[in-house]
Amino acid sequence: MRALRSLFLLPLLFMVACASAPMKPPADFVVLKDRGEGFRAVTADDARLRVRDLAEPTEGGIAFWADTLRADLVQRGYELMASGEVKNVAGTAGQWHEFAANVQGERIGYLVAVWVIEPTLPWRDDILRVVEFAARDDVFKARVDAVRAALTTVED
Amino acid sequence: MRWSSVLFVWLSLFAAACQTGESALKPGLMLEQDGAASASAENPMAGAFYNDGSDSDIRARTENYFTSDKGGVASLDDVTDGRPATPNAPARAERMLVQRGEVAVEVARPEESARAFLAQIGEWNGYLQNQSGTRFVVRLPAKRFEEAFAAARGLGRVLRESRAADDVTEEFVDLGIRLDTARKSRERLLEVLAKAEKVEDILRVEAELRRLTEEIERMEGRRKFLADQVALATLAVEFVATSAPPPPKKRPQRSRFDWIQRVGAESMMGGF
Repeated sequence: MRALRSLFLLPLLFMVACASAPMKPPADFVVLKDRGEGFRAVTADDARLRVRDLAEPTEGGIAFWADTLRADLVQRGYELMASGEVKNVAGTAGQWHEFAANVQGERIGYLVAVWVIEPTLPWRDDILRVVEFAARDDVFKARVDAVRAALTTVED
Repeated sequence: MRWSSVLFVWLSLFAAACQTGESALKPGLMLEQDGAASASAENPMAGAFYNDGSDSDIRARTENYFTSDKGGVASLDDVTDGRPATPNAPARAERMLVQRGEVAVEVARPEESARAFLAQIGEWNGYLQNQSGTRFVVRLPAKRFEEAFAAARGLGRVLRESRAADDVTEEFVDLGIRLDTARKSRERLLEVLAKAEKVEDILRVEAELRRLTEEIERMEGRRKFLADQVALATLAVEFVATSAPPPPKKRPQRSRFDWIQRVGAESMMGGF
């Protein structure tokens, strides 16, 4: 009976280990445990951080996706403030863009970073790991440096 | 022979009497015919407002009046130095009209249109009186008014137009008569002044002379002003730039890639 229980617990422990946080958010961020999409963290002043893995059948490199992302968001009305490169924990190169956007009459700061993660199985689609950080403009400015620094903690 | 002569003379007298009687029965008709004939002989435009009782005819003649080269307006040739060149010039059926008009046209390039228009006005011996932005007020010989009005209209899409002609014939003639009377009075006063011996009389006559001289100058000034207004028509033309088509409304397009469609500040601040 004991051995049976161990057999049941081992895969469970393995799954928990695999589902570890994809990044270490800056201090003051609290990771949400509800059933929302992806990894999400918030601060008391409503800064929001989200990490998601989005499948994309088109095989584009990081430069292609970063440029396309920037162009599409600018076309959507976002104001590009800054761009840069960043490497994650595994050393994979990614890119980030910082925007100012108007959401429901309020000026919002928005940072988005993206990495291309090649699939482990050749017939699977590419995975785009996307980190997003958004907050009211003043909150955003106060926290964006810490978030940008935390991008290096993103797992591969 | 004698009886036949008497009979012939009598019949001739009867016929003449009948003809006279016929004329006497239609004095108006004769008068109108004579008036029209004499007026048209003297001045082709004099009959422009001659009324034969037909509305259509009045309209036709009025149109003719407005489109004629002479326009029925006294020119500077007729009016010089504030006085008519011929003493009875305005007293004829010729009208003295102060013509003015305004046209607003929509054009693609207001500056270019204005330049072309002003060049044409210059060729017609007109001049620019004032300019405010793309609104130009020009003065030009009255006989060119219709051409200038048509030229302005032809420069673009007419937004608004108006024109008017004030008949100042009566005022001009009246001023002439009053001026003549005043001058004669002044001459008589000068004669009186020459004969006056008492200081009191001299002062009274001199005061009256001053008043009369001022009045003459005022009337001469007004007459000159009217002559100028009649000789030179006033036309205001405004060139309005064709309004550019509104820029196409920038509509956010959906991204071609689904994952990009799913990211953004909206989803972060909304359904987080």
